[in-house]
Amino acid sequence: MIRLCLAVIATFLGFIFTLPIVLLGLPFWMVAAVTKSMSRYFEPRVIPWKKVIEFDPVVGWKPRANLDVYCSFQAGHFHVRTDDHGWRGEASLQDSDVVVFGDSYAFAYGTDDKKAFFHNSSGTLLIKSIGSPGYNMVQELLWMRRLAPELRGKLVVWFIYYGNDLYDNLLPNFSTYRMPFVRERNGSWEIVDWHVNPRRWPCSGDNKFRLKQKWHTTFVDGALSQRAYSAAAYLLGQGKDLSAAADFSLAVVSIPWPLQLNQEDWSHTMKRFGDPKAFDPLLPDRNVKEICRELEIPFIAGKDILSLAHHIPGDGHWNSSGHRCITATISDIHANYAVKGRARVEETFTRNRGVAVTSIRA
Amino acid sequence: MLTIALPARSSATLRSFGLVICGGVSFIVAFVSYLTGSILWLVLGLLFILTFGTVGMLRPQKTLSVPYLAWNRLAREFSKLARLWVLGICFYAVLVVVGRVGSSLGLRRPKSSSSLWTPRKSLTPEAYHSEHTMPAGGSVASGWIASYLSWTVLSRNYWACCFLPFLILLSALEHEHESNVPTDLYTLF
Repeated sequence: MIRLCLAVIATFLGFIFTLPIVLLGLPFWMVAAVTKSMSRYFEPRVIPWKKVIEFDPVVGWKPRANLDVYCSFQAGHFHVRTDDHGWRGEASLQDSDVVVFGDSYAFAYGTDDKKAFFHNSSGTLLIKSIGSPGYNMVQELLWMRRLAPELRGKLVVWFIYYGNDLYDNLLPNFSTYRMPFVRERNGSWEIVDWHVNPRRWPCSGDNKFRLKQKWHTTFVDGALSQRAYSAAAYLLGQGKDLSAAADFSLAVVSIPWPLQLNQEDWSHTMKRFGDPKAFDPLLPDRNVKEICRELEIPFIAGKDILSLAHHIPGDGHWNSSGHRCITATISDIHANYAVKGRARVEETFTRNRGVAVTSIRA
Repeated sequence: MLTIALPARSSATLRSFGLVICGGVSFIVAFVSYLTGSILWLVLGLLFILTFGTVGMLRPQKTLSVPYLAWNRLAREFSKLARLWVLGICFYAVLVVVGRVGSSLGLRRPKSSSSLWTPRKSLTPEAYHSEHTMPAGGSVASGWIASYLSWTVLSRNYWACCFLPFLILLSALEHEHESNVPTDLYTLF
């Protein structure tokens, strides 16, 4: 009781001293609040993400078909159009020269259709994007398998995002959504999807409360990362086998976590999880490149072609300049390396834009 | 939630910010004009508002980005100093006074037959977001204030309720590290 009385008196006196802070801060709070509340009148009517995606019994979720809507995100809103199957991009899968599989980066999250990498501005190269926000590599492989008959003779580019893909391959859920994943059994990996159903996953805090494990898995050489890269090798191997069976050319483009592109942000963030020196921003590209070399899959490190200027500030997805850079990269891969038929890895060399590519030749 | 920094920069937020600035300037101009009784201030203010407002609405990225970033920077600098001030009052005024009564923590070496181990039960999934058992029917959705108050009641630290205004003020002064990229991309689900 004495403690409570003392606390009340101390709080009262303390609050008198904080009153100037409150008064000085008032303009800032008011401007921020009014700006935030009025900004919605300058945006088109957006729909919530639950209406953009729908349940899929094997993959977990996919974008809805025939959408023509605006979606809101961290830095504003963007226009999304999808085709009869739920994929963005004007080209049909049948007509396209290149098919890109990936997560939100393949979906062109945060960018209008007309500025996305799959927009056919020149009319020379038709790119189809097969991707949805939150996908892991397992889901992307399952789509590759499902669409394999339509991929014959095409170049397939597989985006691997280091921000969460490698870790999420091992998880049964993404937030409250159930998704297929890989597990190791008797020394070999297998895809698990029996738990995928429309019901909400009971524990949804993984993305917030397991950040340390997530970054350890991708960026620290240890038991966790060995497991994650082994799973990635299994999935890439499955993709390679599929490309041989379905007769398409497969290339891998890694997508850097934007923090990897800025040393200051990298150090600041990694300090939260222990010794920042333990986290190696180059580890994922080293490991995935080695996996691709062994599997004879052409590999391009996104870190070598993208900079922070290619990303939307405060969000982390690509801006229009980033999308142009990716279109140019895909065009380069298609023009130089997408050779129909069997491909053979010959050598690694540096291209004139400084891109390290493992080349293939017929 | 009340925040001191402006929302993420987009055309919509820039236009909105432009209107707020125009509103603020018109208020100041009207006030000055009233005090001085001069119509010149009113005319100059109206000219500024019309020019700034029109150009800002048409070309928000080019016109308003600089004042937007400058305002945000000012807000961040203010919040840094204000947080230091508020934390100083918390640590060197409130906690020092309360601490004079002593601590309820058992910090002394226990007797040979007793233990300092405290029995704990498993937490419910709803309590994963906090470090103490949530009361029956409580949920994360009810916010950190409800969670904090429930802790003060369950742990009988009633005095800590007095701390709440300072915590609210600190949360309103919170600003994120000035980073170009977020640590987590997925805000959509």
